[in-house]
Amino acid sequence: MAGARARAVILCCGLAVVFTLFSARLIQLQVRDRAHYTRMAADRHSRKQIIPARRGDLLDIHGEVLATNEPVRTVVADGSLIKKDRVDELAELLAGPLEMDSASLSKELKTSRRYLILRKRLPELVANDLKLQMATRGLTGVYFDYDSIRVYPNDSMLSHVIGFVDHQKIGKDGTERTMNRYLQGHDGYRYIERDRKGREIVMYRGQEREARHGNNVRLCIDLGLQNIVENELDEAVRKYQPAGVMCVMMRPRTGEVLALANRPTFNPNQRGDPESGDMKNRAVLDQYEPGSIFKIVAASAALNERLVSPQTLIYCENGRYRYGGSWLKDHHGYGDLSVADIIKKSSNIGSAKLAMQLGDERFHDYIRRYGFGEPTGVALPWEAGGQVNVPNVWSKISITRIPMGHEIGVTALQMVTAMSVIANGGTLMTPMLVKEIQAADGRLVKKYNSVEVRRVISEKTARQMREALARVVAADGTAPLAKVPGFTAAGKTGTAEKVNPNGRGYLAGKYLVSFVGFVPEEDPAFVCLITVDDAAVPSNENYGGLVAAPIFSRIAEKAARYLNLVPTLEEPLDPIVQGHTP
Amino acid sequence: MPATRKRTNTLNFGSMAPWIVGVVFLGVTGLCYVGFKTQMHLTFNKIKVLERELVELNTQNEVLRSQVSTLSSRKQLQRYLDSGFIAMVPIADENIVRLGSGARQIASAMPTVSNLEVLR
Repeated sequence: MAGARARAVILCCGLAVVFTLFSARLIQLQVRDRAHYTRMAADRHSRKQIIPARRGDLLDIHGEVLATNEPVRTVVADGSLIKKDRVDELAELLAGPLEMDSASLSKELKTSRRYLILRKRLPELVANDLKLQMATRGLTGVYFDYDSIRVYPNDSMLSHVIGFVDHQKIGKDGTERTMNRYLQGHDGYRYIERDRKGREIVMYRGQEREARHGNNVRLCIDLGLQNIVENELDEAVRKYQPAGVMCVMMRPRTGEVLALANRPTFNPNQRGDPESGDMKNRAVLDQYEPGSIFKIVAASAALNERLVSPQTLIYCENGRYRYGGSWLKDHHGYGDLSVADIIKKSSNIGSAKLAMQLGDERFHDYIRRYGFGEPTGVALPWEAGGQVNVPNVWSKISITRIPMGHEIGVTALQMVTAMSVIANGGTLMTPMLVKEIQAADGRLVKKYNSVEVRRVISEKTARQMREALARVVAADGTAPLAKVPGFTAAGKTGTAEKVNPNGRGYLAGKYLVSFVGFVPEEDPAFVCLITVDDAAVPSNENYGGLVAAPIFSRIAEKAARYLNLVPTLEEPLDPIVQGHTP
Repeated sequence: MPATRKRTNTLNFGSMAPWIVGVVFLGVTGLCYVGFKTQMHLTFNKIKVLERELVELNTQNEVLRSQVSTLSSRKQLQRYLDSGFIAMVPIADENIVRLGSGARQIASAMPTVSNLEVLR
């Protein structure tokens, strides 16, 4: 009896020890190491699923799409789900659409890896077709992840303004870069739990945040005008085979950039060699000596300071003027020329004498007031500010060279902005590229208004300058070929030798010729600058008035029609027969 | 005569009632729990299917938007024009209404367009 009792006690004690050990282990798992095992379970079954945000579109002023997204798929193989006896069948099915060799694909599909990328950027329609065929045949182990690529429907048109994005869809150039924070949006996320087969258990969804899609950015660019400009630049490249061509068109009253194009150019859908220079937005990055188009600064400054009137006669030394130990020459010899005629005939000596009347400090002040020497503030990356030396470092002859556009560096955009001052009545405007930001649902997020920087010259001076510049386009001016049928055009030619980038002086026989003008002279609707870099024409024909002015004329005529401007001259416009889309 | 009446145990349902109610309640609650849980599972799966369909539709919409943008782009229209797929018809001279010079317009005649309108 006592033995039975003892055995019972021992059994009880044994059970107590066993249960105590179990309890201790339970406490260890559930209490002491709880965090570790919770994390381990979470790692195995739950994950953060990213809900990608849609990058906003870039639109022109009328809502035409400049940049948008195209859904594509990434084809991924999961070796653990591929049936080994059907690898060849799967490879046979996928090889064609994935543009891969069937044998090598079959080899890849025998992988044990659970995430093997077979192909990126597969078109959505092809992926859908493949998915259907796989489902029909009961094939598993290959799935199609969502992705998207940025597409530019107009290829190279406006490429320098639009820019491009990198593989992570982050803007790298153009407005894609400067407007990236509006376009990009914010990815959402969701914590999910998966079952043994990797399928989501929807019931156990955790914290979730919706994706905030990017905003659409509407530019001031008018694609109709841009198309006119691009076609004419292509024509100019065919005709003159230049090293480069730039064109900027601006609405002077608001500073809105209506069109901007460069040659050479690039297609953002198929970007080539970034070192080639094709991607360079020369209109805002390249600074160059503008030549005679810069004479508008000295002339308008002297008029604004009331040192002269448009009729004041200036003696132009019959074409040869020695100053500071150096000769200054005119293309033709002139005696007395009125200020208006100095502009019309583009006299270097006359311009130098106007600047000398102003004096170094005052002339420099006007150069800066016109916006030269600092970036304009346009919404494009890496804008150059140009080069304007302070009078302290000017040489003795600088006051005679700067008025004719030497010893100074400007960008094409700065030059258009400066001419807009004259066209709009005397106010410097900030070039405006972005009109507004719209949410994905069309709601207005932000509206950009035109920004007046400062008054540079009086309205009276601006009017006097406009009248003088209109004479440049007259039959006896320097740019009769800039005439625009039906309208009184106005503008200024420029012909500058190219600065030697590898040393001092200029490159012999290489010219940068320009014309900057506006239409109509009485109430300018747009200002347009054409700059042709090293046109393949004889030196005696390589002038702004002969090369750039005709391009301006053709662009301005088509632009006037496109904008439905009321003709200001009696001569009728030709019937509209165009070979290009407007 | 011996009594043939079977001896039976009487059940006191009165005292068992709370237990029976408790057990039935627990059973029904358990079944409901399982039923609702299954229902929830099915509903969430339906939600998942609907979500997937929505994503598919959104994707297809995006594809179509992108295709529309590309096919109606100026570059594409220019290609169509060059290939003769579409053509532009010249406007006959007599069908063009010419606007006179702004300065010479009759005061009472309303211009069809003015530069100020264009600038707006």
